[in-house]
Amino acid sequence: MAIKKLTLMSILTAVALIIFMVEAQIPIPIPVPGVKLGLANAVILFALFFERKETDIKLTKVDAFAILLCRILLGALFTGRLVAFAYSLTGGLLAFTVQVVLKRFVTKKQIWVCGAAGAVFHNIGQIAAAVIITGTPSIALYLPMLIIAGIVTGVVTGLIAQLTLERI
Amino acid sequence: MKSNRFWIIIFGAIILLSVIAVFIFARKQGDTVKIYQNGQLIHTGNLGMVSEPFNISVEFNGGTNIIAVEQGRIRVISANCFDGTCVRQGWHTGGLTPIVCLPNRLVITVEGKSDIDAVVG
Amino acid sequence: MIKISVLLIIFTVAISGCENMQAGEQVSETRLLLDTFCTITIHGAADDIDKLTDVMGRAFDICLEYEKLFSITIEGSDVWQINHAGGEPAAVSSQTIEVMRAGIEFGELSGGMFDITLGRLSRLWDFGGNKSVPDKAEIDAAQATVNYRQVNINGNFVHLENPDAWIDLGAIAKGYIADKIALYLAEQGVTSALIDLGGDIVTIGSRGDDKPWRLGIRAPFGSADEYIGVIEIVGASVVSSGIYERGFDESGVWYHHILDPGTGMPVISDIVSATVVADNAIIGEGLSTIVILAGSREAAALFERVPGFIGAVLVLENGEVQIFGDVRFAG
Repeated sequence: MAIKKLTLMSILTAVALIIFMVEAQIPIPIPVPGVKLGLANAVILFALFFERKETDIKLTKVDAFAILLCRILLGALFTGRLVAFAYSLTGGLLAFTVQVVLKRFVTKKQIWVCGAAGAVFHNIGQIAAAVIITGTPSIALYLPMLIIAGIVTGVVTGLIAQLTLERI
Repeated sequence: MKSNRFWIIIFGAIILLSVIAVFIFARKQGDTVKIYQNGQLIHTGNLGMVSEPFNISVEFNGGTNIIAVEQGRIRVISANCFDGTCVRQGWHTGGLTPIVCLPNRLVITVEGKSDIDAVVG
Repeated sequence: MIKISVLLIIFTVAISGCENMQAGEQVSETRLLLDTFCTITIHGAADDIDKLTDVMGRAFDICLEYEKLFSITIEGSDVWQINHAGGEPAAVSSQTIEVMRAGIEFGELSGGMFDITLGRLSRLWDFGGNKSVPDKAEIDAAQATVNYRQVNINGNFVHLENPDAWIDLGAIAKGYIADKIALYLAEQGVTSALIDLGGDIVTIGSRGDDKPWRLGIRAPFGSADEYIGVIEIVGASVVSSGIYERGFDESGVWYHHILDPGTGMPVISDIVSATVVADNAIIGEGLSTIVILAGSREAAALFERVPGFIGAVLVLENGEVQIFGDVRFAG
């Protein structure tokens, strides 16, 4: 892999990791399980939509996926919560899949759509994991609230990725 | 490529449906409280039958939750998990959404009238 | 038209509000003891809440004290001492003697199918940890040590004629403990309580509002809150045994925890779950296990021989539900 690309990916992974860990330290006052800003996803979206012809670095979906996996793994290790790893993984994988699929249908000005959908499915993935791990299906009743939260936070992270890409 | 308006309508509709769902879920009143730990029902009681408040202490793998039970309502008043979402969920008097402490695998639901005082076996 | 609707709405709301007016002061706590969830609920007057809370706490302590006597795994317990005495007499507490005598009586009653010397066999199968069928050789060796008639009790001394045999009081210990807790509560002036030690239930009096206690009978192989019917009791005990409670699946066969002392294997019975209502829990526990060992055809004759038996509900493997004795069951 070209050095430039590797450097970019490492930086992105580091940024995603730092955002994730800082976010983990700040408690959100909303009393709904699983609600979070999910800002680290902005980095993943950035990676997915990255295009700078002058630098001739091409980030593929696989690269973005690699960044995601590293962020999840390292995030779980560094924050010391291995159980959260299961939740992170299901949410992250589902969100990533949905975002990759949607990428075909949106323009560069509509990354917020991917962000919103990604956040929603991240939450769906987490709830699914929680239901399986705790064995109590009634947790799923939080889905409507989490869908709303997901759309709101997803639009924000999507816009962040969108605006950053426009400015670089 | 669909226009921006298309997506805004889609998400708007989803938000609307979700908001309606939230209100529908919040409405159900109930008296039967069920406390699940790790998928197992560990305690069930009748909130209508309580007039003197009491506390239940529940442990799982080193994690402890203290639950306060009063006439018609229930809440988690203390937990040693790291985020304390369950405590912030406050008093529950009904509604379909349960109180949840994911790190301690604790789920508390308040449902309709219960028929029974305990389960044998 | 609107006025009538409004009146109707107010009327309905008022009616539904009335349901919460029953008063019932109670203390209740659930703890993890005896490897299961134990709940004690005491109903009483508002002024007595503090005293009742103390009494409830002390009741849990009693439970713990008994666990230390009867546990087959805790080193130094009475049962452990008997099992590790190498055939020498071991001095134990009078409560342990009481339980053992009850166990021996159950042995007589069941023609040897219930046996307190099942220890080697039950530890071999170890449904708590081990999840595979033991070797036939090991089963035969363990099974050879089972014989409750080779237990000698002299005053407070117990000695096993076969030094390899092990006592296991697990089949009736919880019932005994539940009865003792009920006795303690009654001595403290409690007139309405429900003791639930992992599904073994003893009640004192009726529920707070003078209604009988309503207990669901757990659906075999169902989840913890699925029940097949409701039994109503006042001041009696209800205990259930079932092949679904503990066991494991190997090669499509379900190996359950109710062992046949004659073969060393889980008993083959037409009963899937047996719920016994009796004067006290130790009778309920003993009978619910014995009737599964004996099979449904022997049930009626068996129940007749036991004073203290009140009623029973048996669920057979073909789904049939049989009711014996005097029990209010709605399923």
